[in-house]
Amino acid sequence: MNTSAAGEIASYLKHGDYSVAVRRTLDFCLDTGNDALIENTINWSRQYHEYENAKESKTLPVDFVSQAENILQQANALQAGNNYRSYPLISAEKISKTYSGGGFSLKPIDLSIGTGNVLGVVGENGNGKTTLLRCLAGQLALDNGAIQYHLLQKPDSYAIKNHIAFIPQRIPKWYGLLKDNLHFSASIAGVYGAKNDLMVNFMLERLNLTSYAHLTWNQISSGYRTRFEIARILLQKPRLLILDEPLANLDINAQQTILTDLIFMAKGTHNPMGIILSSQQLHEVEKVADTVIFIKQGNCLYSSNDKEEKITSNAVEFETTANRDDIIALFGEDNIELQFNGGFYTIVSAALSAQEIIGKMIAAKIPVTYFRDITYSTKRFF
Amino acid sequence: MNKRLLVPFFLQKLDEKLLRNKPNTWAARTHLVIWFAVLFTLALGGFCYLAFFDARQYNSIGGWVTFVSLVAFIGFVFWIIFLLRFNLFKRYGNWFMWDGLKSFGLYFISIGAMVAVCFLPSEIQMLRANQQFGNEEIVNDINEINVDACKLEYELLPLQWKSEKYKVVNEIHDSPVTAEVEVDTIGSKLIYTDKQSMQLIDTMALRNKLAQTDSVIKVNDSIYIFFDCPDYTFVSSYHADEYTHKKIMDSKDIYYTVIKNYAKPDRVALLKKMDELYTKYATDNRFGYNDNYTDYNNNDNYNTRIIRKYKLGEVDNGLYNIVDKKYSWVNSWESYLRIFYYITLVLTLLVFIFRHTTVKTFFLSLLASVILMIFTGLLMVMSGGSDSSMYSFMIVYYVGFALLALSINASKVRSALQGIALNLFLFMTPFIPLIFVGLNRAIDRGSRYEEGNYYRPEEDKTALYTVIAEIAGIVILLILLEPLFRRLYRKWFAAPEN
Repeated sequence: MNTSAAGEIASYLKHGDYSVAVRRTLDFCLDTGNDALIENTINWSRQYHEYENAKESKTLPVDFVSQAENILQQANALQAGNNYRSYPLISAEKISKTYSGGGFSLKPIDLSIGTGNVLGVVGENGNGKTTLLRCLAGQLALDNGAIQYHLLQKPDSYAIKNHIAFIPQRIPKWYGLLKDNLHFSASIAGVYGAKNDLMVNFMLERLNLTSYAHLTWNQISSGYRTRFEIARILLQKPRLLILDEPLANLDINAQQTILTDLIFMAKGTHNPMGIILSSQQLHEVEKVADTVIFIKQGNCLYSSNDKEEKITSNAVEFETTANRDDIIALFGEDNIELQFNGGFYTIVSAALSAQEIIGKMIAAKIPVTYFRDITYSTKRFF
Repeated sequence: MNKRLLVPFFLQKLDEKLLRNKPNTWAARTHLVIWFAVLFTLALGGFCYLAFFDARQYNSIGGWVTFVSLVAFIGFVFWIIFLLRFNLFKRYGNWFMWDGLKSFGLYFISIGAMVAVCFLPSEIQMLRANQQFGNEEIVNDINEINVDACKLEYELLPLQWKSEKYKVVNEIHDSPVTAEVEVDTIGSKLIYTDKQSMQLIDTMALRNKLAQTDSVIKVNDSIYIFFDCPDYTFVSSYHADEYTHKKIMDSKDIYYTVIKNYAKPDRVALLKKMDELYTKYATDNRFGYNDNYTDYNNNDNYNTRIIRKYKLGEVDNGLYNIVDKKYSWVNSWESYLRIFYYITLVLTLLVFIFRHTTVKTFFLSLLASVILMIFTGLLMVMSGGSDSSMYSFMIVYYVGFALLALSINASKVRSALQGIALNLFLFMTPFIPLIFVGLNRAIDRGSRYEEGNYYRPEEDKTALYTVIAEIAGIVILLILLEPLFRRLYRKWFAAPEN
């Protein structure tokens, strides 16, 4: 993050987007590495979260924005020359895995990821997403191929697992107080003493979990469990974060928030990391991922890295109250493929672009309640 | 701050500090275990101190130990629940050399604290008995009672010593153990006919008999006449004079002190003294000893008549109970130490293994050890194996486990079999020197029996070798724990699965 980030945050503050401003400011200050400033920012953030959690009875302090400006000014000064730089983390070459019992095979896949990168893995259930993630996390032995960990020299499995964090779809239960778990995770990663307190408080504020920290696992919802697990993992400072279906337990707003938060944290200079995540939420993943791979029956059918080579037609999906005949009549001469899956219509056309398709529908006064260009989306493979 | 019931502020602060700085130490919760052990010790110690107010009452320590052991077990379960919540190793936290050794030490201290409290009632009972009755005091009182009873009931006492004649032979194989013996030497005051019926005795038994008899006449090299003084003791106690300057007078001592040169006593003073001593020691409360009263009541010999008259059975009960409590640790501390050590060590090993292996592999290891024991037992029964073959089996198993565990170094995947072998390899290591000592002893005994020698040689150093093996076992374990076992666990646990 740099001066442009400060400008971006200032813009959020100016337009009253306090939630995103607070989160970005916390990230911005964390990257300065200045404990006093981070502490100040945490206290400032608490004011906002107290207000947010009790909107009716509380108001934001009058100097809330000026405090933020002051923080940003200090952070900007400390951030001078502190530019983010990406470096490679892991490369997998022709990795494959076959289960002896079920007969399922993950066919050879190549991929690589660096710090600040997000790799999305999409595909239907039971097609090998989790197997691929577990192979990358060092949990499953490979049949063929190799994974190179660029930051580790001759690593053993323990060092690899110390280097990589894997959050499974079903998060194992935590025992004891949530806050104790966070302190423990920070201290086993070498974050001791006052820094430990600082980082735990930071993470609680960053993920808006402060008011839940004194609770236990059974006292929070599954969405908060996912957030706490992410907080715990981030405190262990992994270089590669692998998340298996992290959005499954989150509401629609939290999905957006968590994903964008992860991206910003991954690109921070405090602990730059790579992120690999699998999800059924295609559009959410595609929005944040630098690379998306689509897996079907163990085969990598598509990678957004080579989309220019493979995509030869445009595709859109839309929802309308018009009947099929009207749509066919509208695009009758354009040589399109029209499909209806029960909810959406999908049009695939080599000749028409997405803009042209929706333009024609508006001109023909066909009511459109939903429209998305899926030309470069893995959605078209489902 | 996270408030814990009964935990003082300083300990809460320490707890927080450990959580933020020493996660491995914090996760072991040794500081809390020790604190609660101290609290429990104080409460239990105070309660026992009040409860054990009368050292004459029968020794009910078994019930106490059972109760305290149950409480300690509940404490152990609680500790395990807390311990299992946080595990640096299984979370792939930062790796530090000696963390394994430190963890092992912390588990040992925690478990040791819980095991140690089980011994507390017994210690308090001993302390109370020693506070109430001195060692010399008891010996003096026992002598006083026996001497006074003899003085008061002189007319009832038998004065004739019992004699027995023995002929010494090299070996006694079967009955009869008596024989008609020609006597060619006549003692100065004893007249024998030519043939005497004598009991046969071998040299070993002779040695014992000579040590125990009150008096003996050696007629010739092979014929002995033993004399035993009538029983003039009405109360006694086995260990009471073991650590005192003054000794309990036996019948012979009483004979020479009171009987031989009998003088009429001051009966009123003696009866008063006997009354005082009765009040001091008497109790009818002696666990499992009440059957003897039937004998006292039914018999009518001088001994039982005197015991009945002065109620010395009740005095003897009190003395028995007091001495039993006073010396309960003196003669058994080595056994108690071993009980403490082995319970603590075995539990520590199990906890350490559980913290470094998967739940599945841990329980498979327990199952494997049970199956191996059954298998070995069957093999031994079917082959008529001896002790030495059992020890040999254990050594073979150990070598097998070691080889399998060491193969983890060359393995790229996590295998349950290697995990089980590693667990059992670690568990057996502290006991291996003891197994070798046992094997050596079994072989030695076997060869002696083959030569027809059934006596343990005097220079037998098994006890010394056992202690050395016990120390060597734990030292070997501690030396290998970090560089071998923990490295193997690191490699095995983190390895990918198939």
